[in-house]
Amino acid sequence: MHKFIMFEMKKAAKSSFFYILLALLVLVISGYFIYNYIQTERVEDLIEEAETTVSAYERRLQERGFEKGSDINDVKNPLEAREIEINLKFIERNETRLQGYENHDWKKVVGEEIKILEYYFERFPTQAEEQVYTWLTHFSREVNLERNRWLRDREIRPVFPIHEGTELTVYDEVFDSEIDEEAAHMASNIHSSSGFYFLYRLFELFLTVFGAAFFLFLFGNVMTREGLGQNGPIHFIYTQPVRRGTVFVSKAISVALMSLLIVFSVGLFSLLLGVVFDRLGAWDYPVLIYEPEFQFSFMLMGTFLLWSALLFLMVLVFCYAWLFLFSVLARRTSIAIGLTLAVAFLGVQFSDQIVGAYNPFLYFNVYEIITLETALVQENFDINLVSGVLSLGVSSLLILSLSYFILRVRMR
Amino acid sequence: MIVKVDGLKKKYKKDWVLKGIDIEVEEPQIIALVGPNGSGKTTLMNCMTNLLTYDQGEVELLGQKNSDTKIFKDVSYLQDNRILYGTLTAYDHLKFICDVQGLPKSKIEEVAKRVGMESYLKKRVQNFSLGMKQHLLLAMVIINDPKVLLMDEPLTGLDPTSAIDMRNILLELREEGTTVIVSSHNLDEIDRLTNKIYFLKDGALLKESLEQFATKEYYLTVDDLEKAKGVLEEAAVPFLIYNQEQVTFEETDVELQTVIDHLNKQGVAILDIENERVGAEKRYRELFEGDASV
Amino acid sequence: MKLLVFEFKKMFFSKKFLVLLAFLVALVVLLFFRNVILEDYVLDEKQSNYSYLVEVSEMNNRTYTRQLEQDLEEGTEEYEEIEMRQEMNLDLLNTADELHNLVGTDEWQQQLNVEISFMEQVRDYRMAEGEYPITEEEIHHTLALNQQLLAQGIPKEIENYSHAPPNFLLQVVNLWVTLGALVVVLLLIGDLMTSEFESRSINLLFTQPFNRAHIIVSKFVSSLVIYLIVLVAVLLTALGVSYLFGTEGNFQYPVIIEVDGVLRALTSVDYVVQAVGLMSLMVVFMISLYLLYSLLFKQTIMTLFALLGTLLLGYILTATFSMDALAWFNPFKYVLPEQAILTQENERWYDAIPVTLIVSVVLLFIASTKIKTSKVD
Repeated sequence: MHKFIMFEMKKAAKSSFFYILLALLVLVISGYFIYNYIQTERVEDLIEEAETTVSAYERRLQERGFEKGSDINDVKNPLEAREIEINLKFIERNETRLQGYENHDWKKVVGEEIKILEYYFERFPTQAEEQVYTWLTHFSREVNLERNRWLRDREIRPVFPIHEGTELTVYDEVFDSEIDEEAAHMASNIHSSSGFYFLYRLFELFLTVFGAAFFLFLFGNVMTREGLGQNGPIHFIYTQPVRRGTVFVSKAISVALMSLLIVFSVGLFSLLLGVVFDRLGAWDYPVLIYEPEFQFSFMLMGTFLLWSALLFLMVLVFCYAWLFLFSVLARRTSIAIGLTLAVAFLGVQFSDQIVGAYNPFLYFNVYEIITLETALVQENFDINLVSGVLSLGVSSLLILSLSYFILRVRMR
Repeated sequence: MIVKVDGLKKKYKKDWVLKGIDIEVEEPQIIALVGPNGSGKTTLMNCMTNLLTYDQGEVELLGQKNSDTKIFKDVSYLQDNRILYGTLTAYDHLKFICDVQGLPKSKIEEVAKRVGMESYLKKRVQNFSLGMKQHLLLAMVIINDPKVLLMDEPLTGLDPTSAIDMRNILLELREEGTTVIVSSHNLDEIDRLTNKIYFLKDGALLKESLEQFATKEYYLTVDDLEKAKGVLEEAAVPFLIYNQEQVTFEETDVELQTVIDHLNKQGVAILDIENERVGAEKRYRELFEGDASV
Repeated sequence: MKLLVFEFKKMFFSKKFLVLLAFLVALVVLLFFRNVILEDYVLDEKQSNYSYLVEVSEMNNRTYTRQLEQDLEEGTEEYEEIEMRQEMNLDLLNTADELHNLVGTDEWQQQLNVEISFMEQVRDYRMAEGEYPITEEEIHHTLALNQQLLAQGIPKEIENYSHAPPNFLLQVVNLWVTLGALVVVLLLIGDLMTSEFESRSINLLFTQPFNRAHIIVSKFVSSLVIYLIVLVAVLLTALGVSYLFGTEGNFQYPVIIEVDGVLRALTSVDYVVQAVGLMSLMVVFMISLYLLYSLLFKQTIMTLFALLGTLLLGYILTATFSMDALAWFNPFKYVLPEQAILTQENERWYDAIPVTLIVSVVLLFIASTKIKTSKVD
């Protein structure tokens, strides 16, 4: 069997199209890395921002004739005193931040944000008293606070910005205005050129139906190039002392293996880009996982990426199963790829109408499955990684068996 | 029993392409399979190797059912060059066979030398000429020293030298104890390879030994062709004029000496006598005369 | 001309085309019966959605009561504000309950009216800083649609589950213009040219006594004709099946579009004509691009990848950078024509028609020139 798998890989690896696609992939990833690199909020920017804020507030104090360091109790007008007090507090907060930035004391920086949110939760301790549907919801603030605590406790260098508007969750259903909506999306759309966070953002795009389409093109002719139904190379393979099932199975295994290899390499390459041009980042960065009834938890980013890749590979196997089926039926590359793409897109589009954890098309949005977002929205917490792997696995097996059956029957 | 095909029937839509084929081979030998285009030669070979399903009958190669793919360790089948992978090299193809059949890598060099393809062993098949592909196909089927070798049109695209080499390899293989079943349109080559010939006509097999049809064709060059024509017509000798310059006739129709006597008697000088052995072609003409595809 | 007939015959009598045609027709019929079968289910869904809204209001009400009783002093400004919100919330509760009861009844005018007042109440409630899970967009859209329906005296159909001919046609057209046509064209022309190179049959055409540019023209025309045949078959099936088995409908049924921030209504006929027209124009562009790419790559899989890649890239660029000023120059605007019609922000749906046409002609011209020196490798 392994000889066949090696031979399959050799066949794929010897086509120039395969390399063109891989080169294109590397190019796209690098391009996206550059974009993320530019969009990353750097410590220098944060320092500058904090300095500007501090000097702006100091100027305001000067305008009011208040010397920094003098006693606030000397100010007679209570309204003015209150204002000065607020200004002083802002200055202090930003100076603390500044110190944190300059000394790379992330605990201090995160601590400031925690203080702000803790103060908020003192005033609105429960869900019912504050925003439930409108951005920024109580839930999103809670997530933000816990995330920051996580960063503090594990002494992780945060990916900036981390202010209170940086978590956008499914509970933020409505916005007061279009401006709010735009601001919310802007603030929560965080880029970083550190390895793990970049990979997290990259997989968000790559482990989707588009990524699957890429792989379909990469391996689109794996069956059809054997010239089914026209005395093609499959006849050569069939006159070797190997069982025909083996040929079919090893084809399936080799595309799955190569996909695994490519997804893994993409991960490695992204981390490498991060290490070379910025830093590796934290594998234990928190990723939000939804739980029923306004509950939530965090998953390590490393684990999250691993589970996502696993589920995506199952999605790929499912797509390959369709590809094999259509290849055997139509025997032409263009039709096989076209029909597989059609099934994938239509399946995903109509999958929200066939509710139930057994529907394999539900699992194409890998991230939303692992974070249990789909589960929460569909109010069905059976929709998770395990049922995804099972559902995709079983349906792939069924489709592959059908393809093999048709292949045998059509040998005339 | 080396090859046993028993009552093989195959239907395409409504038409029977093979109407009950029986083949039994007990001794190593070369068998030629001959028939016009579309007579079902490739279909028969594909069925024998289980590449095609068939409606009735049984096939055993080396005493084993043909559905058992283990037989391909000792059975090879040379097919048309569409089975090759354009992006792979000749070496890749041969190495794969070695891998799958557990043959030593040294076999690759050995067989490449035997077939005469060392110079382009590492080149991609998509850049091969027709003849080069045919060499590779040959290398691929003899690399495992098969006991049974099926060949579908092995001579396609071969230059004369290669054709002679191919013939010699096949004769060597027979000496080594390989049974070869070869389909070809090149009747001259078949005459040189074997006496055993199976004609495929209307989906049935006519098994014949060429011995009974083997004959010689004579070509006489004479000094006066017109006169010779007149003499032979008068003597009622069946003959033809070849290429407007030679008198030609078959040994089975008339003895050479008789013709020489007739001509000499009337003073026609014979300048040269050539002869050619024909068997396959003659029998083929008899069988398929009038077939549109001949 | 003979070449054109030859090409057309090759496509028309191919098993692929006939199977695809039968498959699409079957799909449309299936979709219709899905709508019929799921009717009750959808009504249930709608009803449970209203019950959910009632629950939301009940929860809000409990919160207000608690706040008024425990946390706040009577007479303060905040107390009055909460009191006012509670009142508005109770109105919402009643209206949501009324809507819940109206689902599935024949009183469509009342349904529309009640829904209008419900949306207005939600809007006011949210203005007064009340919490409610309905977006501004949904409010505006529903208001515009319902008012239009009332003005024209047309009952409301459930989107994507209707059995009335105009609405079912809308549903089919929407599927057609969102990737449907793209996939169909991909399947129809996928290896139209590249297979000729792969099987070397192009050499047959190359050794015939005519201008090679004719090959491009005839392949283009015949694939366009084939596309139109499929399109007409799909639309006729949609209309046919809904006339035969569906309920009565009105072709003036409004489709709400947004033009420069203002909501307007388009009749479903106009919408269908515009959407199908723009999509067909995109198909012209696709076929031209495909023909050029196939001459460049001569390989099916690479050509298709390049074609889809180009369309995707064009679409991403169009979607990411709003190119109001450049709308006239963007030939990718109609990859998803639905969006070009539904939201016209500082641009009009017809803006990119000329550029798409011109680019297609240029692509065809380049392909016609290129094929003159084309060779099989």
